[in-house]
Amino acid sequence: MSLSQVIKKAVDQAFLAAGDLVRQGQVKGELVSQFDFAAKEVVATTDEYFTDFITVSSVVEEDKHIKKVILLRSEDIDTSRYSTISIDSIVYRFETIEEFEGITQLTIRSV
Amino acid sequence: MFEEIINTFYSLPQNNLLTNLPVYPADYRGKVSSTPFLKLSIVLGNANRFAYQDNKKVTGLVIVSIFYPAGSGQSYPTTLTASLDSLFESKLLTYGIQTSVSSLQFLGPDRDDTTLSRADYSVPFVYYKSTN
Repeated sequence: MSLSQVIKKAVDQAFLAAGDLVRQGQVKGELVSQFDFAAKEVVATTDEYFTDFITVSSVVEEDKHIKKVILLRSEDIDTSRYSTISIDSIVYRFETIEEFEGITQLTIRSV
Repeated sequence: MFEEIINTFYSLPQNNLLTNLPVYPADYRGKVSSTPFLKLSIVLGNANRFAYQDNKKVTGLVIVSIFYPAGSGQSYPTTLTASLDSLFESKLLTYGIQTSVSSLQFLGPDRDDTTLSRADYSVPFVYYKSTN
């Protein structure tokens, strides 16, 4: 088994062990493929799906926006394509993305 | 009136192409399908109204940024200028927008993507708007 497979298996086990700390959010992205000068707007397709995550921290900031740090399996998200995640009907925008082998850590902020 | 200026220059690309190259607005943040490509920017300058007439005058600069593979010298952008001149230089466009003489500036490696070089083709323009 390669090292990346070992890490992937360990990450899967960690998510399994986390039990009800693992929650689901809906990630959403918009792929802009062109700008249409006649219509004066971008040509874009949106894509969304549900994925698991674990919350590391959650802070209500002075301006009442919520900032969270969450962990996702790297295989569950293409961070070049997706830019928001909805959790409990609140939309969070990706602020910082840190990708490690098997795990992606996102700092997200409510809109 | 400012909308008329933007609309006029945005009407020039045909099928989102200028000189057969894909063109995007300067602040475009989507996927770029191929290289070389162009970015279109309209910079608005001074606006004033003369005391002896009701027209408002707006000056500005239309810039077509040419992005092409870095390290290929300065020749490529010059091959596009004749075609760009036929669209932008010394033209009387809709809403009475009058363009004047073009220029070309080589800006070297692009700051955002150093695999690309950039050259800016630009043409000043003047727009008069009747306030009657």
